[in-house]
Amino acid sequence: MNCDREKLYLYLEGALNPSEHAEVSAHLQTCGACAAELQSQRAVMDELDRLADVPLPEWLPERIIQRVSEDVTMAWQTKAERRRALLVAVGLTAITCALLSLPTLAGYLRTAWVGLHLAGRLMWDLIAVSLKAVSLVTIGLLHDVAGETELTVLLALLTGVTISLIVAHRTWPSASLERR
Amino acid sequence: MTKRTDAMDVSTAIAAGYGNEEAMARAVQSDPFEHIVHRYHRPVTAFIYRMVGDYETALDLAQEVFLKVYAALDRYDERFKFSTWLFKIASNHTIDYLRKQTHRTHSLDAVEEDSEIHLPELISPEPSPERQSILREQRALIEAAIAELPLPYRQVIVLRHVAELSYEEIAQVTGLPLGTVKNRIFRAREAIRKKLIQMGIDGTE
Repeated sequence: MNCDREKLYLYLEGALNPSEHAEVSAHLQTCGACAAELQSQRAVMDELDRLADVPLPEWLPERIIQRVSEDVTMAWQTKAERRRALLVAVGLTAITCALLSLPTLAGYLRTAWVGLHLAGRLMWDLIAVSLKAVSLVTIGLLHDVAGETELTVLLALLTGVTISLIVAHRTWPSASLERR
Repeated sequence: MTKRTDAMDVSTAIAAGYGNEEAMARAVQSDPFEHIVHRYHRPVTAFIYRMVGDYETALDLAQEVFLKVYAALDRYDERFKFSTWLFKIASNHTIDYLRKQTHRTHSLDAVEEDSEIHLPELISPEPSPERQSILREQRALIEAAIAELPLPYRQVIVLRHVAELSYEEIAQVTGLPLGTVKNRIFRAREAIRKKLIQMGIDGTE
């Protein structure tokens, strides 16, 4: 075999297969350079193996176990806290949305109320106009000023008002006729 | 503390590190995780210490590694030997830490597989006539030489000599081809040997 420094390390580690090991052993008998090399390598290997001896504090394993168990507890706490935080966030969001939408909602209600109010006003106006028209036509008839045409218009007006009132009454029961 | 995991598998795996039936029975009975800590905290912490070179940091990192191990216990891959799997976590965590030390990053990953590793000059401790202090000097020199190795070399040499993994296991931990692992370990050893010879410390004395 040729001189192979890498193989000498493997020889020292016992990492060669039996036939390779025997081959290196035989080579070392005849090669002084490799024998010296081996000695030098052995010193390095011994030193490197000593690197595993690191004096450690007695408390280390218990500290590790304690820290892991604390971490697990903390993870659980965090989980519970996260759930609570989520609930609070959802609650706050709901309240905020409600508060934000309140003016809009109030706007709708107001519009509806004003609508009802105006409709009510309109109904009373229609009734008032009708009564005025009836009295006007009656006076006209009594004084022979009004004829068939006025009477037809009056009847049409009264029919229209009556239909409007019926429709209005059905659409906005009672409230439509409330005044103020 | 217990963890909902396949306790038997993990215990069986770690019991492989005990090599006897009695120890294995104890492993299965007791809490698998506490058992892992007691069984592996020494090699893991020593490995981290030789990687980072700072004792307090190593103790902190070791705790973090076991936190990760605990969290990953459910995902333990039985195709790996337990120690290989554990050192993969330890190695990755330590390298992540070292990479975050940004001021050193540029020199950490420089790997030229065929060139020689040049270690910076070490400040030689004061020579002492006593054998005891020579040994101490030698130890300090080796430690300094390890600390000066580029990270890819330090990783494999520390996995070999401190974690005491086989070449195949180191290949699994690092994800490197076996040939690369062997080559890097050889070159790291040679770099350290040359350093020692250069400092006048030689096995042939």
